[in-house]
Amino acid sequence: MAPIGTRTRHVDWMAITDGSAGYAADLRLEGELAAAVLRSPHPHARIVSIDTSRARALPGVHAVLTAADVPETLYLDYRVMDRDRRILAADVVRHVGEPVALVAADDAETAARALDLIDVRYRRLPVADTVAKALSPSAPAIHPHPEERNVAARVRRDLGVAPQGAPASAHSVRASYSSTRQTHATMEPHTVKAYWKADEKCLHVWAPSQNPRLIHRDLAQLFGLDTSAVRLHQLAIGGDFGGRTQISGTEALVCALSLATGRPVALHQSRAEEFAFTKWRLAWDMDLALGCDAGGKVTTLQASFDVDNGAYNQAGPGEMVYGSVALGSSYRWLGYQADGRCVYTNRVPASSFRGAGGYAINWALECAVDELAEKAGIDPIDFRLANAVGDEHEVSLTGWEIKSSGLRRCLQAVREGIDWDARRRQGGKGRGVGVACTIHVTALSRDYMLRSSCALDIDGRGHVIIRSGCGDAGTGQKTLICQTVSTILGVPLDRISIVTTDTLVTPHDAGAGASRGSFVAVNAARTLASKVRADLSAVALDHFGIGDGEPDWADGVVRSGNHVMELGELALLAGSAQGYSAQTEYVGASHDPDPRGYEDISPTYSFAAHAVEVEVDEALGTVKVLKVVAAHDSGTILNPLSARGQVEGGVVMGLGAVLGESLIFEEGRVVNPSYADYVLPRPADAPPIETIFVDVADSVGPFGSKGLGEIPLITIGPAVTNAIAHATGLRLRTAPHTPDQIVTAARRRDGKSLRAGSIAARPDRWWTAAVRTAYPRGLHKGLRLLSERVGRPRPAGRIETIRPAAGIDEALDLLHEGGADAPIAGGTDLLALETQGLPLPGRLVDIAGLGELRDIETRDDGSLRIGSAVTLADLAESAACDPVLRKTAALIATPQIRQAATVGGNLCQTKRCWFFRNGFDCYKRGGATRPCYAVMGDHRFYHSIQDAHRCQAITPSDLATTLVALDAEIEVRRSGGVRRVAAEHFYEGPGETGLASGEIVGAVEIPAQARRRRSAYRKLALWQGAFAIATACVSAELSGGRISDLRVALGGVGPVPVRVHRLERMLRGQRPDPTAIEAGIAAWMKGTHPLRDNHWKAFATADLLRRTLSDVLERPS
Amino acid sequence: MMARLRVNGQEHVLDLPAGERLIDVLRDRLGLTGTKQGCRAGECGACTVLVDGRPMQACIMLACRVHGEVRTVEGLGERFMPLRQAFADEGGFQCGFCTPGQLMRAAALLAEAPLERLGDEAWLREQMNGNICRCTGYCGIIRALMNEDVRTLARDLRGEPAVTEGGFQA
Repeated sequence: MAPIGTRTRHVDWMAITDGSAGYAADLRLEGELAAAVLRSPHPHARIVSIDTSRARALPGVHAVLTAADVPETLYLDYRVMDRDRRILAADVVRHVGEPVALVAADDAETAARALDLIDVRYRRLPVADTVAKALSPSAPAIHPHPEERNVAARVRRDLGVAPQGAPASAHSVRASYSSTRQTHATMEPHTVKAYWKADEKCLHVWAPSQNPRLIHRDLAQLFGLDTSAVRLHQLAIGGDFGGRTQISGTEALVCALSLATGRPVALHQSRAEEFAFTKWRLAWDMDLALGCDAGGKVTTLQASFDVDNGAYNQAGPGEMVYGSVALGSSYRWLGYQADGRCVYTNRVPASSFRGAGGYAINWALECAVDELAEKAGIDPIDFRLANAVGDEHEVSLTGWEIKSSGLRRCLQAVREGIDWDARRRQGGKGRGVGVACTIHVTALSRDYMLRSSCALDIDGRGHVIIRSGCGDAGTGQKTLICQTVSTILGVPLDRISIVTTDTLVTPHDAGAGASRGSFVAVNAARTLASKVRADLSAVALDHFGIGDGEPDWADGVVRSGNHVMELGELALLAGSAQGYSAQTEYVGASHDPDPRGYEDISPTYSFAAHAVEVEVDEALGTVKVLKVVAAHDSGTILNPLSARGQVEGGVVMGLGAVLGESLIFEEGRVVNPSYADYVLPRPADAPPIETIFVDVADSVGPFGSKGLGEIPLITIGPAVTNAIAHATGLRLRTAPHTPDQIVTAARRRDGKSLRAGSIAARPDRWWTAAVRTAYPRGLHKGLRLLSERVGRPRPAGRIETIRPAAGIDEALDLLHEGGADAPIAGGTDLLALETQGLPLPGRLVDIAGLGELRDIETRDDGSLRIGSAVTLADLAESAACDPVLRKTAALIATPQIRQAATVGGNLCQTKRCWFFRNGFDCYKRGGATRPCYAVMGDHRFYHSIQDAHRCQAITPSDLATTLVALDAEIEVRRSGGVRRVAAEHFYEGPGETGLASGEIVGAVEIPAQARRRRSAYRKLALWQGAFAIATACVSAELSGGRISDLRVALGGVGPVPVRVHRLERMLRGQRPDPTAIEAGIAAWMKGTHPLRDNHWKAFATADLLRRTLSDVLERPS
Repeated sequence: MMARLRVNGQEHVLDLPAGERLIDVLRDRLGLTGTKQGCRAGECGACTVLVDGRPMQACIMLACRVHGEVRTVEGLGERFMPLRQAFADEGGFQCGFCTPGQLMRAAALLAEAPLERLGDEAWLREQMNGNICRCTGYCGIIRALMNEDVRTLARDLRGEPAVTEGGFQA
């Protein structure tokens, strides 16, 4: 048995852990064609003409479609009144990546070639790629329909007392907040398959979603089909988080191609497309004004906000309207006024994301309330205890009626769990605790959210097959449904199976979203199982010849007194020879939205309080979350295993949102569409989490339960921001709180200069300074336009041949004679380059297995020789290696990468600039007529702060920094020759070595003398294993208390690794005296030449250097 | 070029273009779709398989260069049932997409890591840092690795002759 309330394994655990769970990409349809999408390269442009004739003529191409070939119907999306989105762009493209044309071909390669043959002529239109630009008087109208230019929807709220009638506030806070631009980043890249079977007149679709019926309904209406002519199939779903809860931009594309060809068609979205062209979280800019009286009782809240909707309405207007209500619902305001706009911009449309409109408003409000409590001199937990809505039967100013509440117990639980009172007193000096709390809906009381059916069949063996229309994206509805039936019918879980999603065999389901998944699914299953139990009990009693009573249901047997019947037997008796079937519908109470925003919007409300302890390093800008205590009132917990998972997963996703995750846009295009560049939490950065359920049974939810999916993610963010405030005194109001933000805010607080470096100290750089000044004054735009007219970026490369080599000489000969262009060892960077569509050497010679390149050898003279094909994993583990080298290697990338990547490959890897890597046609990609996008774009982390000229990229090798400090020599081999070059002089540009054609790195050698010095290494990165923001390595010899020899190297700061000679000269012969060290660091910093937004990096690097010097110079001998 | 590839104890002779990646061979040619593609750039770990017992990412390996024994989640077998059960019992997965990669990474750790390290949460988190999970917040995965039955499995893997140098048998 697995009754409700017990820890129960995911019903699919076997399939998930043996690899047999079938996700969309795992399915192979006979005769499947590959789809490809031609997407707009422009954020805003008119389509002048499209010529597909050459693409259509390409052998292997089965269909090429444009807007003229697909229905003009608009997507239904979220609210019917907001519809504005078509399947393919017709006249105007409104964001980079908007689908313009489609191809179906025999294979992906042919489809990609066909895309290249489609000739689209655009006329560029003025671009409004930010909210500020879209609302400016000179903004272009992105759509013709809004009354107010680019305002997709507007909401006004006025509840309770008006500001002028309100009692005066003794304390008030007025502040502006900007929320994060998080994206879902489901581990499964979106994959859709469709097959129009003309003989069946049925469109078969495989599309992962936690709300399959919404997709089903939208596809049917888009193509004018009856819903019975569209069949969605069951799939394993690789995550949703709101990103797939409504139709995306791809399902209809695949369906259109299958309808056109009559063949099965598959579209596999790449990771880069997933980041760049799918929905992201709506970003809110908010102004809040709130107050409290002298006793700390809240008075009024006024808010105005603008929401970045992107180019089309998906969930934007609806989420904004919800957020406008939720904002006034969590505290006992006397009056609440709000004015909000959902604003069209020339960006990929933003849409629903776990937490919805509640996410951004709760982050901002909980931060502001914290500040208000501070001003009132009241403990933040006490302030919330006194003011938050959360008493049973209480009604908020917005009409939310509390059916049950454990909010106050949650606040008390986190107070104890984090040892609040003691830690609060100890705050400051970089350590602090913070708290936040949340009220959140369990579904909205709308008919479409609260109407779900469920069906089951019981066969003659007593096996129960449940049929539910839900799509379980991992959150556990399937298991909860099975538990529900198991509990009510007394059937062990191993005799229950469940079919979901398949629209042919399952009844309608309201899907998941707005924290309704388990509420609705369990209600539907409970309604069904209760009816089955009642009906079959009557049959059994009749069969037993007992007039009335209530038989026992347990272990698959129904019994009453001495009468016993197997469930299977009863099913045959009550049903047909096949068994018994039943279907019921659950319909929750619903109503229409109130235009004023006053309504009891949800069947019931969940509560949470989170407390966190953080350690903030103001000099490096890093925040370490030490501990999280998450207390939740989600009513009775139905499955403690999955409930805990919802909290832990939500907390970590929320930590990502507040500390790192954000899509970065440049000219309407996503700059960081990869896991390497989009900073989401990794295991090493995630904290331990203590989860507490206060377990207050709810009077409305099934078995006393309430929603839980979203509230953990909504609650954690402000707790972190508030903890940072406690630790540092800094009230941060823009998320995420990346190191640049913290370093800059701390310096501003302390009245320190925000500008590092001075052109006066580097007069040789006047020309570079002049060019940088010219960039925003027309140079960038001019180069940008020129690049569209002159030349094409170098084409993507692909690996063509790999030749084995029996020995190093054979490999060198091959390279010399032109039989190969380059060596391949680990191949980790080469294959990444191929995926990123960058040029690469196509003909390779394999040197990974060559024994002579794989040794780590300590030689008689005490020097160390490391073969170039030694892997980073071996380097990190090698006892022969110096600790500083081992540490350097161990902090590079991930364990899997280190297994493959080699020393030579690490030194020779291509630059990591995110413009260069992610499709921007920049100077290094397309040549001299191209701009460097980093000058104007986001260069906070991965660009030069010194010595850069035309390209602002850096050399990404961490190993290089350490090798420079260790006086290493790179042994360069070529056919018939060897040369040695000092590591310091190995690079000529960012990730560009001085290797000539035919040359390879054979080994690196570290002289004995350098190995006798003391050395230390440090790295600053956005996540453990990420490419470095900066690295520092110091190697010194001390004799007689003086620094007799010194090497100082920095990585990540300039185009090539930097040896800080001046600092070395200043300290050599000196005692390691702090004043001298500070003078040396200041001298280095003065010579830097940061870009607009990376001055912070110079300050952080200075501190990294200070600490590394200290590691060496202050270490006891 | 013709190449031999040993996967889960079976040998395959395949005509492999130089540029074909191991993940494509596993999924498209051999039908071993348990290995998942999350990024095709070596950044997420979903495609982690074992090559001679070492955890490697199949999306950035060229198949023709793989000379060792490849083991995928399908080849994890009964022997690793305690690990699979621990993932299920501790909340080590939700959507399950990253799970095959997590399991293979974990299997390599269980076979090779110093036993005392398997009780060190901070170290385990660093070792699992190449495998992104978007659902669990990693807590359940780490709990699974520290589960008593999994520790017993790790001890067994060392104590029994089935464990061979640089790898293990199912």
